[in-house]
Amino acid sequence: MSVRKPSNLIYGVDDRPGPMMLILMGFQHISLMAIAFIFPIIIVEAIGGTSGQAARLISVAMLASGIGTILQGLKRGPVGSGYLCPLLNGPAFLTASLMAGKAGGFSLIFGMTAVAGCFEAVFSRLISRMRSVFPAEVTGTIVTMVGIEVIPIAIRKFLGVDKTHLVPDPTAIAVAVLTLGAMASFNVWGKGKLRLYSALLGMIVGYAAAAATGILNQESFRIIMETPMFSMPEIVHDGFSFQWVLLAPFLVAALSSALKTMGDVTTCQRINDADWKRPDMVNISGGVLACGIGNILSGMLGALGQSVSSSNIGLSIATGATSRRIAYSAGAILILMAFFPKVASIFVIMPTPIMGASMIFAVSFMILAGLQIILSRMIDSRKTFVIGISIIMGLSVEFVPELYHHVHPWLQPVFNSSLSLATISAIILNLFFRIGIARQATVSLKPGEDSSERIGSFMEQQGRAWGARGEVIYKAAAAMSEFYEAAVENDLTRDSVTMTAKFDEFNLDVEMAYAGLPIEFPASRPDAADILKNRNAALRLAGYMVKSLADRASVETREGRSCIHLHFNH
Amino acid sequence: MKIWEKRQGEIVILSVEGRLDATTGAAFEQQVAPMIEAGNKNILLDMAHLEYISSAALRRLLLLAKQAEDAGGRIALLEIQSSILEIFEMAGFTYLFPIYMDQEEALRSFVK
Repeated sequence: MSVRKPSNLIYGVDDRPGPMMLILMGFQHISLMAIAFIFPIIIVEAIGGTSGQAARLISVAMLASGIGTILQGLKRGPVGSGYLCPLLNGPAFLTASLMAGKAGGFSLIFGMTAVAGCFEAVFSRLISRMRSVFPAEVTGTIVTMVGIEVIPIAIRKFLGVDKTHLVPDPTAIAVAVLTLGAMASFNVWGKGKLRLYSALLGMIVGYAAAAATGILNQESFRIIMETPMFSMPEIVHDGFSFQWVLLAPFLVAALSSALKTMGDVTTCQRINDADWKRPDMVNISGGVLACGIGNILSGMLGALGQSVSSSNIGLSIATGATSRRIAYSAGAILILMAFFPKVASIFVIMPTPIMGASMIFAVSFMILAGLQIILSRMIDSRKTFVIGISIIMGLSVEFVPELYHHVHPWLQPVFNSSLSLATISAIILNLFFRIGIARQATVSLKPGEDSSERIGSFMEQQGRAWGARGEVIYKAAAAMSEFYEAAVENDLTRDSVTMTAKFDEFNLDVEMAYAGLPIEFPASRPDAADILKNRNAALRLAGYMVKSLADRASVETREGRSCIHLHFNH
Repeated sequence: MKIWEKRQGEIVILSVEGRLDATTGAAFEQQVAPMIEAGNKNILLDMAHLEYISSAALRRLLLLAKQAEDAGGRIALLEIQSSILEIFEMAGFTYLFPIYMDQEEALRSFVK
């Protein structure tokens, strides 16, 4: 199905940028993805591995991420969402991989990662039947938290804090501020290509500042010089092993990864469609399947678990370039970089403040994308609790992490991550607060006693309870009020009018039943002169308005009773 | 519905807030018609805070516009919200009233 490209995008999902642009934009995305190369290093250091093992893991991670990113960008077939939604060795599998690494080394990490990928692939097939579990307030909360979860890492790096610098460093902060300032300036005031490459240009400014201030030193350049130009990635590894005790943490990690993918693909759908209304669950299912296959592949090749990179989606919003061909370009460059480690080393030595500035730049857009999804629907107190409590629970992981240190190790992936805890909370609360929401509601109005204002209040209240789109509820209330006023003014009835509204995610249907004459739905509206002179013209105008406000309108009469049927697409 | 009145020279600016339906539309007409009769023939209706308007109220508005025109003046509309503008378009009323988004421009149009 074709979608209308939003005006803020320079290259939409179906657009074809030129070859040089694809290469530059591919590198721009990789520069942000390179931040994740830290995770293989963390695992290797934690289980006492060698620097050679770390280099191998990074090289195979590039290969697996490259293939995964291309799979995710596929438009046809069951695999892939068709969006620029890069995959990387993110934090979703970090805790589970650390546990596996300590218990059984790399073979156990790879074996369990492949099993988790199988689970994610199976889970993807169930998603299309789970629409009611993921309404806009839940997916919006997940997307918001996807951005918020990155803040602790981003802000530490922005302030220059890492394992060798334990307190904020003024020089690093200056480089970070300059980098972020350059990125934001190119993005806000730059036109065309300056905006397209705002992140890459900002990073170049940051690298120059880092070199001038000594943050990028001789040691950094030595690493680049000593890294070989060409090297085959070592996909032969120690083999696979499996432990039942690690199944739970890996399944929870896979679930976290799948939920994150759901949020990220939803964001991609929204930013690429000016008329976006709701998540496309079949498309999301393809996105999660690509992620699952990416994880099976990671396990087979000997890399860590993958998940979608939210920062890169933020980058594509910021730069206004979301073409899926950028995904193919970034994926292909990543695969090539696995064979050319010298090129990869330029990104591996990226100074901490530049990483922090890049993450803050991208995450700003991601958080706003989540809030926009939440606010696309009417909110009542039930939804306020679903959103509010879930965000509070998620933030508690960042504010008071010590409270969750004693949780059972199997559940650590849930309670270690603000995103996971907020997501689980939003899903459970959404299901709980659905209790007592009727999909159908009725109001009865007595001519001469009730004004049409009561219809407005009734529909407003129901719209909030249903989480409906505000503009659809407004139109329905306007059509109902229009009919009621016309019926009363023109004596179509002196009896009560019973109005019943039925709602599901795709339809809003209204029935207005009364004892009396039917209203006419004329094909054309009366002109101004007719309206001024002829009282009957006012009734025809009302009938025309009711018909025009609804997507479908019909009337039936039987034994002195009339019933108006109005349908509104939702 | 609430109405606030202020004057800019010979132009009366009426800010309408809330709903204009069959009931409130009649009250609105009862308030404005005597003003036109008294010689205030140029009226600028600020609709920035109007939440809803029905065809019954549109008809009242049309009657008032005719009355102002007969007196040698006119009624112009200011800052219509998109949902209200859609109702005006459906009813074919956008051709009957000059619509402005800027108050200064709207006021200048009365001088021409």
